[in-house]
Amino acid sequence: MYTDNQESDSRFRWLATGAPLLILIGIMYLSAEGPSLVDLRDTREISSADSIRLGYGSAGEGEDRRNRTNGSASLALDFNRNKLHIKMGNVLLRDCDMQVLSDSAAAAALLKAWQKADSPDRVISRVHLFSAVPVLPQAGLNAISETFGMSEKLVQRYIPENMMIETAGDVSIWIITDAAGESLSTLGNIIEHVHLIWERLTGMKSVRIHLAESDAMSVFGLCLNHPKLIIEG
Amino acid sequence: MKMCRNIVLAVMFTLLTVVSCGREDALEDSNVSAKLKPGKSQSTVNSSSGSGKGVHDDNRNGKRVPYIVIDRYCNRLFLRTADSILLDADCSTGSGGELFDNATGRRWKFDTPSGVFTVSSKQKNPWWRKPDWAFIEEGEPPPKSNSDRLDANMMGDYAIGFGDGFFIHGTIYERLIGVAVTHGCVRMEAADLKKLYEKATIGTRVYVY
Repeated sequence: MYTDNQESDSRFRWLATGAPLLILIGIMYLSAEGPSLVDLRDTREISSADSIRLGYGSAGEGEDRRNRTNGSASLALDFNRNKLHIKMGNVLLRDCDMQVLSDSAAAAALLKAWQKADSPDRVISRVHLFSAVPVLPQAGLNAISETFGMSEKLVQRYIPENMMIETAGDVSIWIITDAAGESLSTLGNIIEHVHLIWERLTGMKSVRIHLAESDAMSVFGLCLNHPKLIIEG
Repeated sequence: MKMCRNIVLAVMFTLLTVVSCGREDALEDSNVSAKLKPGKSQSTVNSSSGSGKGVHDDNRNGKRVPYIVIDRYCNRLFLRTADSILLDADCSTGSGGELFDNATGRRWKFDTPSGVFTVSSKQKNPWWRKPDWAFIEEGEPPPKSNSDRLDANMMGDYAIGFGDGFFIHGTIYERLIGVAVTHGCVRMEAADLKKLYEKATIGTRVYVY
């Protein structure tokens, strides 16, 4: 006999096995494809050996090479002072005022999770633009691409309206601005939301902050290169 | 007795003079070494202006030294100290595009590199000696004669070298300032470039991110 209870049991069993499977497929798809804008970093790194030689003036190549020192920028959030800094070493590159939109409990939970980890700073592993304003209008972009033979993807810039940065699975920061943006990829956003639901279930802490548009744009550009994130306060 | 006192005073005065001269010499020496060794970070003095906990200025021997910051994503250039911005200007940075020469197999990547650099040269009315890629990009073979490579107008009025063959310079394409279209150098509008040229000195740090 096939009863209603058995039917609901089989439905439950399907849900129990099917739903995590779907989430897993979503994560695998996301991991395989990744947010397209993050890929820029790889193309830059491949080329580092092929630096451009500008045969110019009297500057000797060997002499010039000694001028460069290692340095990578990092992102530092200070919840006590409501400041976000872009720094290189200890030198301040950009000083941004931020406003914490989440309640104090969320910020406290994030800080607690952060302080539990072995390392005080971690690398930003993912960045996703949920909505943004393109800086160059399509007509201008077409003209530049045709004249200089450049990819539109490389030339275009975005002012974020809603973006998310994340360290390896434990902390995510949502950055909101006043820009009137549009969604860049509906499918990408859905996948990202599924990914975030999964990560929240596994204990990820998140907080929402508000930044000025120009500051958010600079932070987004920096995050494409996977800088260190430092959280203070 | 009075003579002894005078001798003691004279010795003390001489010692004091020698010590103070020594201090000045030491300060000058460290200034020179700061210029000779740009790679060594001098940023050890905390900013007193409340610009943030753990954030430092580009101080050298207690002097507040302006530094250049180039934001490649926003295509903006700042001349600043930790607590003030002396110049905020649009610029153009490297496009990130690539060029491949089928004839020789050479490959170029047109990126402005990130990192810490130092202003190493300043030139007025610079001429550009066009490298091979400038011709290959146009579909022309690179000329053998050096004189065929020279261009007096392309670089604008000033060029500020910051290492690895990269320069901050002017352009004849000012309409494209603010867009990442260069071959790796940093282009600025003439008026902003003039201000930067006047304020930046050899040894000024350049931070690119």
